[in-house]
Amino acid sequence: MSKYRSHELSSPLPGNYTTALYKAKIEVFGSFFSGLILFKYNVDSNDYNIVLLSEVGLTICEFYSVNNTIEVRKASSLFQSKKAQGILAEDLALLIDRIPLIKPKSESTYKSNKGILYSTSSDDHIQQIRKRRLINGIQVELENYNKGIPAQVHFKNKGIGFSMKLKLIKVS
Amino acid sequence: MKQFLVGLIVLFISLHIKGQGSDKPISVDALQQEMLEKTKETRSVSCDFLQQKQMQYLDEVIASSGKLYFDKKNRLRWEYIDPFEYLIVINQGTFIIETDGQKSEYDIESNKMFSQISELIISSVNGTVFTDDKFSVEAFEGEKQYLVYLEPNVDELKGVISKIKIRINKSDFSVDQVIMYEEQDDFTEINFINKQFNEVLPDHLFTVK
Repeated sequence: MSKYRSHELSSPLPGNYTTALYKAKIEVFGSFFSGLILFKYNVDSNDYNIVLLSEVGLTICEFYSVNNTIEVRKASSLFQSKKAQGILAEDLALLIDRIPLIKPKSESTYKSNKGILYSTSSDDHIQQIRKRRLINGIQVELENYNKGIPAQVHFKNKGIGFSMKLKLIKVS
Repeated sequence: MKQFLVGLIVLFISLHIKGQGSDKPISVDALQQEMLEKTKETRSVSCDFLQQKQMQYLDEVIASSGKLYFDKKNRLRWEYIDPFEYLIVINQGTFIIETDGQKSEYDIESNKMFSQISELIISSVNGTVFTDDKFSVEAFEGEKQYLVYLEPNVDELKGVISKIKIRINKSDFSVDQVIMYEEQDDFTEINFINKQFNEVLPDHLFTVK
């Protein structure tokens, strides 16, 4: 039995805000793209809209998430790879999914019932998320929390050429 | 030459709306000829731009701004400054993007998308964009502006943009505003302000180190 108490962690987003806009740099199977990612939290319906768009304003892909289930709502002809859409959705969900009460493996590392590992700082901010998959995994580094929101997020999918760096532009 | 902004639009859009209110339909060919005549002495354009991405169903607006430079050598610098930095430079067959200090360079001829973008920009500069068969074009005359509507004819563009609306200043034939419409209620509005014509634009504006 663990000597540490069960613990409920807050997901990295939305913090105290309803909207967070990040600059995104994405590697998709060897090709690099940049763009913006908007996270919009609806307090009343407790759901999320996430929009990936180009700097010049074109919507590339839209996701919708409710009750820890995320789906692709729309994708432009610029982003039709179902595999890439799925990976991106799964990665982004790690930032917004509600984290159930979980037992710690150590003083600062927690494991959810889905096998996701969370490492936290002394102020309970999540600094690292690790999730195993059947043949690969995802590691997320979250840095420089500002008013409860990570200013930098780095997704590294192991075994596949898909990574993403997010840099916070603004919150509201 | 000022019509160059028309081409930029294409980077991201198209159109099929009708003129508003008292705007009367006019000949696209006549407008093109008049623009060619009135802008033939223009050697360069620089301006600020204000961009607003409107997502009406989310009640959300993403605003950004920056500077744009273009000269008669078909060189373009399109620079986002606030709230993020993002730079596009087109110069001598090369398409360069710089973001977060990282430069990506593309040979226009080797990339279909950039080839199309470059072609559209150049056709805007030499005034042939109105006759580009990739778009259906309609033009209207308003009190202070001409309205030009572009609707893509090719599937590649249709999958990205539904229509483009361009407002052209009747006094100097420069582009005042471009609106790129996507599906549903999403659109991006770009307003061009503080325009300067025929300034000497140094070479370093069109290079990325």
